[in-house]
Amino acid sequence: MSKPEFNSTRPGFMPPFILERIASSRSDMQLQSRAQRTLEVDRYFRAQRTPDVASAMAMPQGSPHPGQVARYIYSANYQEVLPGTLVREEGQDETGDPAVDEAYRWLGVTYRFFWEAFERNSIDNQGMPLLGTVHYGRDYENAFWNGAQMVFGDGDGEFFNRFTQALDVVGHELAHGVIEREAGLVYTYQSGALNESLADVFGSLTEQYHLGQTAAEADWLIGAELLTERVQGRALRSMAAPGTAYDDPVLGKDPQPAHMDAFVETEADNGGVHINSGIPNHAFYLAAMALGGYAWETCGLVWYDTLLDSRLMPESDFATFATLIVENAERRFGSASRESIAIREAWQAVGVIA
Amino acid sequence: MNDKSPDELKKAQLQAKSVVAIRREGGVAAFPGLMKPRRIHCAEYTDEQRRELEGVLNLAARTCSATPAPGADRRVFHVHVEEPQHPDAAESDFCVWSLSLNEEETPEALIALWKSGMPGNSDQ
Ligand SMILES: [Zn+2]
Repeated sequence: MSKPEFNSTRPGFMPPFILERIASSRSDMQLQSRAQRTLEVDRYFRAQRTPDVASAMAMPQGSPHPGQVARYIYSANYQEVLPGTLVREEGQDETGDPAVDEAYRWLGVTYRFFWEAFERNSIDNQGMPLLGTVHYGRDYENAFWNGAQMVFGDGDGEFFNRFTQALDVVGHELAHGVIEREAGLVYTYQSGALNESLADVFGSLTEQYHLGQTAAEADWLIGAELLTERVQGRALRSMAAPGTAYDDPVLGKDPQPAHMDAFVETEADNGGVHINSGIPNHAFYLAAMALGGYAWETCGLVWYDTLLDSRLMPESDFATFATLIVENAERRFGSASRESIAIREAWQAVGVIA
Repeated sequence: MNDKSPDELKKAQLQAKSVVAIRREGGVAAFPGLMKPRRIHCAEYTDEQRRELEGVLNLAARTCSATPAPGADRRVFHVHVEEPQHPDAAESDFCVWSLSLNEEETPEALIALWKSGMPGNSDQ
């Protein structure tokens, strides 16, 4: 494939988010019609139903026994290739490469959390091997789940640190695999925001479990380790106070709402999946704080029950999800239990149910 | 991600009044500051440069897939070609061509444009 010659030869370019201060994306977005939006959801739904990445790739050996993790860490060697070169597999010694060893360690911690808290044996509950690729791309400031494995960039060093540094972000990416297998929540609009919120909930719980923290002791931040010193902010997101994680001249201001009154209607970010997730995130936080103790023993169980509930559909919205959560709380703890009451009140407090 | 309809085959055609907006979205968090578009004002370039830019857009349109990449927290590039509705209209640009690309299938030339704008263009 021939590449038209547009590569800038000017050294030391500045990314557009620094140079371009004109917030003009709004007019583009408004052009998208409702019909187009429906079509997009439809296409996404069809694409999601066939996770062909997993089947196209030869998977290494999974967990030999339930409760035993099978990890495979690859290096992309600063290119954008997957899975890359295998650099550490289950049982092998530390490599001395922090990204490799962090990915290995945090994937193990996340596996153990799902196993010990929910008796879940890996992403598919059948011992699926955990594949993580590090050193993906150059200055790559992102982490993602690609339908078959987790991928971590090294960050640019200027605004973002290595993405393997944050246990809750590693847990977040692994949780996306679990959510995809169990509920297939379509990654747009409210169902997408629920997908994102569940990934934050289980990512945060993984960290709380690892640190032995009660709800009151937890920081309820996502990715607190990722932002460098020069960023005016604490984390990617705050479940305790959505919208307050950062306010920075370059990154902008945390756009997350904490209540339905401030729900953001947007076409950006797949319809605000990382934005409106602040609302269900905050509901989880409120319920966990009201109940006290270890959140994975209270709300965590109910949220996990709901993720497995066959009534949770790929396009479920916040209200449907909240109703199912309350029903699962009642089923597990009793309808007059303090757990059921606190959880119902939390969803009322964020304006999702009356 | 993009319709494989006759519309999809419509080639990008840039005029002097066209503005090409390239935006990157998505990833594990939605930072408003990182979603701001690079805007390339065609009026500042020669016909030859505009043909080259058209080449990049049409290459991207030919090679992109019709569906979003699977998984979550993936990044996407959005390209819009906007033209003013009236020659002297100061606002309400009209989108005449658009394309969404999964990050891993976005041509390097397009990413370079997003990062630095047109070559030889002293910083906007
Ligand atoms: Zn996510």
